[in-house]
Amino acid sequence: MKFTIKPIAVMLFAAVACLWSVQSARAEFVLNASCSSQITEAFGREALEAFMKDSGVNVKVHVFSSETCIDRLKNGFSNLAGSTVPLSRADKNAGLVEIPMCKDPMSIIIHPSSKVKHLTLKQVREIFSGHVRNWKDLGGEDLPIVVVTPSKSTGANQNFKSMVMGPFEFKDDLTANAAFTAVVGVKHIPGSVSFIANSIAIQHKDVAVASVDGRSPGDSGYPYHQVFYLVIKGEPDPMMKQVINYMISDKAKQRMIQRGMTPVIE
Amino acid sequence: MTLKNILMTIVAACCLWTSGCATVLTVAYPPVEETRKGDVRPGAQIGHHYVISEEKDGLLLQKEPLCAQEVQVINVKRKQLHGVIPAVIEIPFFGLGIADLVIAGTYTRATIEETDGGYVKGNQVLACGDLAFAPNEELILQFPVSLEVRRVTTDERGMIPMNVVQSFPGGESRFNVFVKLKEGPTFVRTFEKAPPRQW
Repeated sequence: MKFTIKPIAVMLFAAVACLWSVQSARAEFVLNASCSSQITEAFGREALEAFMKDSGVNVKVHVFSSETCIDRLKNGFSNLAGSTVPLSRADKNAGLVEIPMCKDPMSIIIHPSSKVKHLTLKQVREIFSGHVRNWKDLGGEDLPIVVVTPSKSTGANQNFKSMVMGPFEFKDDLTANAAFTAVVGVKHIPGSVSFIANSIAIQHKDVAVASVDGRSPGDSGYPYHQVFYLVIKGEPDPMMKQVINYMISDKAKQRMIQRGMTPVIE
Repeated sequence: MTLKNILMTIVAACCLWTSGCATVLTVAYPPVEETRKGDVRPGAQIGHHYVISEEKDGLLLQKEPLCAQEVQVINVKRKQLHGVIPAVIEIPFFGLGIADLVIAGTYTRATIEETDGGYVKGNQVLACGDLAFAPNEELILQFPVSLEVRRVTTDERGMIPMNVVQSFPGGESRFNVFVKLKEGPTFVRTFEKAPPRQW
């Protein structure tokens, strides 16, 4: 009797595929969230774990830039997104809905060895547009300024440009692929400067935060704030509503306040 | 030995062989206890599901009670099939291993005992009442661009007058609606201003 291996291999493959599909069907539902790097870092991993424990909802968070998070939600790769930029008209027409959660000041962060801790808006614009290239021109030591900016697709970049830069264009020395990695750069490169959500900056004691026009992030009247949004597509299902309600609950508000954010629904 | 005796001996031998390893082991092992889910019923009320809709003279808020799901637990005691490998080995030698497996199988089916283990909390919520008007509920209207927040209370028919929701802050076309509850705000839905009519 001729005995070929091919039919056996096909049968084995079919059996494994059947078993795998049964296993997958049994797996519990996972909510896929695409979240901006700033929001992920601002709230911290513990916030997500606390939510999963309280609600019993299993959430898997994928971290990208805000722009990518919105695209993933639009194209069905995730059930909800955390973004630091408001929706465009096209996004709204695509059925996306934004729910603002909180405001967070935008901080200018400097390498801790820098002697310059107070800047004016004009100086900030000159630094990030490359018109001032040395800290000595700002009253500091003779050290080249290393401008680190998060990449263009990040909410931090877009918000900083619209809030602070006015008519000036960025001229950077280093581009960080995610907003959060800009902090790592500033921490390790003498003379470096960047910007990030204040809730992240305060978690890193080894970077200095500069005041702008005499006001520090967190002071009343500090003018540069980002808004953190939850974004969903269409009508939310009960599970999604649970996430939204949690993010505006008193428990979440406490966490926001602890980290220097301001809830937008008091 | 008469033919009758011979036949009886053969039948007895058959019975002996068919009550082989699988049957003996299946009977000898204690039954395995497991649980399965039974009926689902609504349990204690845990809140409301809010529905808001646009009517001719304003927004209408309605609510329906939500209850935690309760799931019946059924305890099952069942004999499990044992001795399959010896029975399979028997097959080429005696040909009766198959009968052994069949008999062992009948024991596993015949010894299922089910008892009601009561109800436990499920992980879903169920609607457990009728949709009714939601009077005197405080609503939070949040405008996402300006971050302006307005608070309104529904009247005795669950209505919010149209004039409250027709004046949008500049540049806004949408607002999010939340119901203010003791435990915190709960999201209901987003409303969009109708686009201006094109002539």
